[in-house]
Amino acid sequence: MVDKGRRDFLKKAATSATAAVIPFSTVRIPVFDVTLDELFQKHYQKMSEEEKQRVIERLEKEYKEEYGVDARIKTTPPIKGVVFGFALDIKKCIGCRRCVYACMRENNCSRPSPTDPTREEKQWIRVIALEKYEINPGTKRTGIGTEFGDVKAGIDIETSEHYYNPEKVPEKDKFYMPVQCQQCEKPPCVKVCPVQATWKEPDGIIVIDYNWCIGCKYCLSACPYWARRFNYTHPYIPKDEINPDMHYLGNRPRPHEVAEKCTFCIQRTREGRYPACVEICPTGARKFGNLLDPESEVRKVLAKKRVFRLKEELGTNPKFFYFMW
Amino acid sequence: MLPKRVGTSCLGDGEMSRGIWNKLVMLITVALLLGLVYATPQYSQDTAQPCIICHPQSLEELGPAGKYYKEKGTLEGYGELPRKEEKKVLGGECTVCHAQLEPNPEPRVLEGGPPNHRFEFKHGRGRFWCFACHDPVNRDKLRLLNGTTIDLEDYILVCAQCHEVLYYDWQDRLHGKWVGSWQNGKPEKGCIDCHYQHDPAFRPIQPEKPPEKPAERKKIPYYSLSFFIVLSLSIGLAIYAAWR
Repeated sequence: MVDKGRRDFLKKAATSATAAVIPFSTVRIPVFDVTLDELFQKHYQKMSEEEKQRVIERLEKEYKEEYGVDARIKTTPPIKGVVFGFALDIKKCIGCRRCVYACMRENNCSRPSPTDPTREEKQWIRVIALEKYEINPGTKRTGIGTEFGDVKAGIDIETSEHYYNPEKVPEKDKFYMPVQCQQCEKPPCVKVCPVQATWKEPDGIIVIDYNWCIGCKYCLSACPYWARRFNYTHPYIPKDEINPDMHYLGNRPRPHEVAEKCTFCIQRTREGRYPACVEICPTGARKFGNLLDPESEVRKVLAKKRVFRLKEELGTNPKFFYFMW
Repeated sequence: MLPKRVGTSCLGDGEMSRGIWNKLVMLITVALLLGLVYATPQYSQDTAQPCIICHPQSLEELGPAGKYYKEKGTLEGYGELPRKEEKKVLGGECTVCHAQLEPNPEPRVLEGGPPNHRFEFKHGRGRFWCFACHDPVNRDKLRLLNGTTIDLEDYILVCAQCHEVLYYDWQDRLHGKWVGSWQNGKPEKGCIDCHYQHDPAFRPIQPEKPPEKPAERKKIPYYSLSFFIVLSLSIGLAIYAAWR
């Protein structure tokens, strides 16, 4: 009897102690702006399923408090036998920027805050307009001395711009080229990360554990495609524009001072859907599919079309292909 | 003449005036009906078209074309109507009118045609006329270059005669826009679900707004916490110095 009473007491004491500990671990420490739960959270790849579930519950609660939405954060694993690839027809792209804003809405990117200039917009897709430039005629000294008229040819990425704003697109004598994360096979951003907060998943998507990122911005400077973005402040997302369909590694609202980038809409593509930019594109210039399936759209592009990759000479081996005809 | 007489007799005895009122009402009704009847063939008169274009069976009954244009409002607003719907409603009803008309193989501007023929024919930039694709004998059929007639539903074969590369690309899901799943996609949309067959080129569209330049964001008035700390400190210092 005595033993049982003592056991009961111990049990009660233990439960009340844990009940006392759990709220304490969720208390936000003011100066460092972090809770103990966040501080002792493991790397995503090393977490067990229960730990992941606990983290997700915590995050869902946080998002409910901040944005008032019942978010569903998924941890959908990669599909076996699938490596994602992307192909983009630069002949068809008209530079309408529909993809840019569809991506922002889908991926809970930071919008421009009307009151706070430090909370700026983050766009994962950058559409650049490439202008044709005039051919430089050879001089007599080099022995060529050809006379060119006002012949314009070639496209020049160096003089391209992404702030173009004409009345109507496409404009004459211009090409448009959307640039986003190229999901390289040899990603320099992964190589430079000092804490391995970013890595390549088995389906070829480079992902970031936003809670593990320390915000050193090495990956931003390492990326030759300028594909990564950095939240210098807490992102601003209007409550009615938040997308509640989230993935832990993808489009959940990012904390401040972490890097972010395109994930081929991991929350959609791992469930078999198309990325948001593919669905919105009015011209059908974007093609998405499984690189291991010879019947997929991307493999058909690779088989039939003239394909090039951006900055191929750097040896990053992107899985994002540009093609024409 | 008539209103004067009505006016005078109205002041006279009651029975007489009631009879005239009845007559007047009848006259107005007849006039209105006549007006309606007159208004309906106005279109026919203006465009020199037979009535059967809208009334194929009898004058009282509207045919599919007439019902369609009655539902969609004015004939003038035709240009704004969705072409796909027109195809759904009018496809297969061409012979209703064209059985009565002689086929005219001469390329010309179709002036005063019925509303479904009011378009600028730009496909081929003047190289073709209707009978390049439509069968001159049975207008509910299409004709291939080798003379075989096919149903309107199989129109893709007509397009594929010239646009062979695009046709194979479409079969491989490379041409056209696909939504749904990257895992199992089959062609759901045909050529004329996106392109208008008589004017297939797309028009330039308005782009979305460009990304904000960082310099533009700096123009928003913003006072950070550090600004207020510095401000209060300097005010405090000034007060302290003045007080001393």
